[in-house]
Amino acid sequence: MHRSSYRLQAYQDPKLAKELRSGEVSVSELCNRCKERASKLNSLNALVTTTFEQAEKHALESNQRIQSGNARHILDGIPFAVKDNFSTKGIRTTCASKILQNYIPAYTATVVEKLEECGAILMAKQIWMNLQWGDSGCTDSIFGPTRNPWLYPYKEREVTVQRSDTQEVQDTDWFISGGSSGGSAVAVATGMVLGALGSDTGGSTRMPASICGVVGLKPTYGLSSRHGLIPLVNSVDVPGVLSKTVDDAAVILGAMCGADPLDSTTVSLPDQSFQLPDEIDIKGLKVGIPQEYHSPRLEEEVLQSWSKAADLFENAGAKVIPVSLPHTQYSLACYSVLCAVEVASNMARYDGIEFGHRSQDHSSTEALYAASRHEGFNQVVRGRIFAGNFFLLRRSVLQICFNLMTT
Amino acid sequence: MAARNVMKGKTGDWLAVIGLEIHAQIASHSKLFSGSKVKFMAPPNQLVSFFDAALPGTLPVLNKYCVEASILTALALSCRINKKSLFDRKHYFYADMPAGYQITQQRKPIASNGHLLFNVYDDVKREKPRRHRVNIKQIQLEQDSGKSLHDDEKQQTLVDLNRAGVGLMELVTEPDMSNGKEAAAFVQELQTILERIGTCNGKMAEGALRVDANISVNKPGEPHGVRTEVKNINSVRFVKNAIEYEIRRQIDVLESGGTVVMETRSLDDTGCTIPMRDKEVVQDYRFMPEPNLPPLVLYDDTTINSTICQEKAINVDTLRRRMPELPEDQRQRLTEDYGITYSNAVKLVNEEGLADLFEQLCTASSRKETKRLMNWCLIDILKCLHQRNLTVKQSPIPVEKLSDIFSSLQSGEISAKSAQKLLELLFDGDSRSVSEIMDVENLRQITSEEEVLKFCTEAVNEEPDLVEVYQSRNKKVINKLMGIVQVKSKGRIEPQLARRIMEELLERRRRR
Repeated sequence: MHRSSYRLQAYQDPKLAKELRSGEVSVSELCNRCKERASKLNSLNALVTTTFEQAEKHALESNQRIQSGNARHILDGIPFAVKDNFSTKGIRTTCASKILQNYIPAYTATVVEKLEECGAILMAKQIWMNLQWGDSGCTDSIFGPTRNPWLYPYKEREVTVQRSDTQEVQDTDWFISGGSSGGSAVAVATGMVLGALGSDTGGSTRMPASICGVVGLKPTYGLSSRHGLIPLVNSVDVPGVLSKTVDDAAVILGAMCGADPLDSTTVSLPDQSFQLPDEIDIKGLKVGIPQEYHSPRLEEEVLQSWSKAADLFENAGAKVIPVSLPHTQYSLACYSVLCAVEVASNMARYDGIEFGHRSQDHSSTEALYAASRHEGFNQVVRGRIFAGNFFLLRRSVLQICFNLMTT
Repeated sequence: MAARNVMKGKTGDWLAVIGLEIHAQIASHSKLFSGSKVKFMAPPNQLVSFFDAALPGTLPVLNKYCVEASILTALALSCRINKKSLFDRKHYFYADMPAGYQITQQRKPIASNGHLLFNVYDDVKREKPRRHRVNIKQIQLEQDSGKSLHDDEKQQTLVDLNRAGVGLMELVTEPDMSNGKEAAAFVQELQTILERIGTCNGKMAEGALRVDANISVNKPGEPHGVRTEVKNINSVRFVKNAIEYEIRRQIDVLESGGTVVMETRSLDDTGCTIPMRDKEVVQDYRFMPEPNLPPLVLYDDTTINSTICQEKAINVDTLRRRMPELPEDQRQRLTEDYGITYSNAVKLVNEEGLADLFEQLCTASSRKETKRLMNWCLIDILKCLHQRNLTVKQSPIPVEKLSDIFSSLQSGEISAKSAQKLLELLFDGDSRSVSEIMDVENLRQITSEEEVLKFCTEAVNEEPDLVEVYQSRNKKVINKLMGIVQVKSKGRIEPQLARRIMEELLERRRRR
């Protein structure tokens, strides 16, 4: 099979910040390059909504700040994008779902606001899976699948973006981007933006990052605010970071973390800086290898990478020891049940009354709910809602567990 | 004890068992989990934050004041305060419940195991007060729903979210009541306590306090019967009537060979309870822990120091120290300190702020006048307030002025009628001092006999016919003459004095 590979041009370059400060590259110019890149790679289908006009205005302002020596932050002037499940005031926020297809929020998520306050420039909102289900890779978005930029046959054919809700997707000669923050990963990998926010519940930032070859970070729960992050599973969701380098991820995390009065599950850390030292010394660091993770069906290739990583640590002076996490075998079952339960609960608000898709069936309130929800949710989401509600029934074992949690 | 609670039926005696669930709206400026204002009768959908409308991505933030209010309430009801309580989601679809669930405290409420001791008595029947104890199972914090307005003509439902998310305290009692009167007395006492401690305004007509009653009947010696729930009872009188109606209905059903169905009923305009159609299906609320709110942890004097953030932490002991005197304590004290009857003490205490006013006025006057002062408060002042739809707290008259009026009344300087007029003027916004009004409006009593005689003479001269009747046939017409004198003097003559002078005058005339 012959594919012409596309050489990704990384904008992320150690000189960039310096060039921006010195004026060698203006913010507007940088944004334009990102914009061009995004247009050129439209066929990857990474972006749902672009905010170029607003970005242009912000770029000019940022430029002025930088030129007058008043840059707000190292992120001032850096084009970024966010996954389309972060609420953005006045900018359509769809969750790549029909139920929120035309939803324009009235407020902005805390983490997005924090990045904007640093002067970072929001360029676009990225595709993700329909209400964030699965990890195979942004394939059931109502805006069609997001394609992995690597080994994508750019030159061979014209690819027109097709919408899965109207037409079957015909071109299948591409790799998946991973999910659910696949759009964010692709946008960073291709240089449409220099950094992006994803969200991570059960790997939704880390997996697409891995598949698209960028850095993906799931910060500790409570470190950054979920206010404005449209929830899937409140007790596991966190805003994730996608970037080209680990240093960038640290900078972005540093800018967006911190206690938020609007999210009661956030914690304040005493003046935490995430800046990484130039030389990292891990001598004496203990690294545990959970034995249970070495499951019988583990792919040989994965095992090799795993061993290689362990060796790297050991060679650098860390103490690598086997540990046991005996509850590992139950984790997937617990995760699946809790996911379904919280999804069922969180999706209860999509009834077509206050916002979101509303059906034409107005014969009664109940009929309106039923029709709006049936039309708005796809089969996968509906299945999760049914399962979640089933687990929550009075007679379920889960209720016994919840009650045990009180003691 | 049993005899009092027994109800007669055709087939013999019956007993009733009643438990209450009461939703008390917390008198807070903002909602339980959002910063929206709380106000009754605001234009529709004006007090709605993004969280109240359940916009995706919004999160609840617990209102500290609401927590403090529920702790204060729990302390007033002798509850055990749970140092750690949890929030849960209760799911059901309703147009005025935008998130599709209500945040409540199902598993571990903020307080439990309390009780309320109160008096049951009927003032009209002059019954002796009887102490009754109702145990409180729990108090939980939860969100109120919005309101749905159904327009049958246009076939549409309109939703008003102003009330959505307002903080509620749900109080659940044990089934410790056995008739409507006990339940009504419980609700009334609770209302008085809530008003006193300021955690709920208690206005049932506005829905600030809503009562659901669980009712069942059984024959003495038999287990409890099947219960029905009467929802949203919105006055103390209806609590009594609805429960009595429902007890009677259940007895009638059972005696005519039927069975009582476990169902939810509502109260119609005629005071009957009728099944609620939309509540027919048994709901499974699919409770689950609210993941966006960490456990609510409370502290006391011994644990508060260990917390990092004392500003945010709530100290139960601090609230305990802030507790005002509770109504029943005050009633007992008033009867002891001022020698007034218990029923008058109830009247003073049950009108929010009136007992305090009474006590303030008492300190300024002599002990002997207590009874008159009490009546003045209970009758004259209350009349002025009620006519103007004011509470004692809203009264525009400073205590000092009221005290001035009362001393003038007591010293005989002004008549009861003038005192009433003074009150009216001051309530209507007159800002002059009491003595200035008395001077300018000519309200001082006429004490000089000479002046009284002048008024009497005028009256006698104007009504020779009445004088004639008095002297020839009927001495009672003197009352008509007295009336004329009072009109002329604008009620400023003490009646006994006027009567003596008039009698003397008429006697002198007869002799003439």
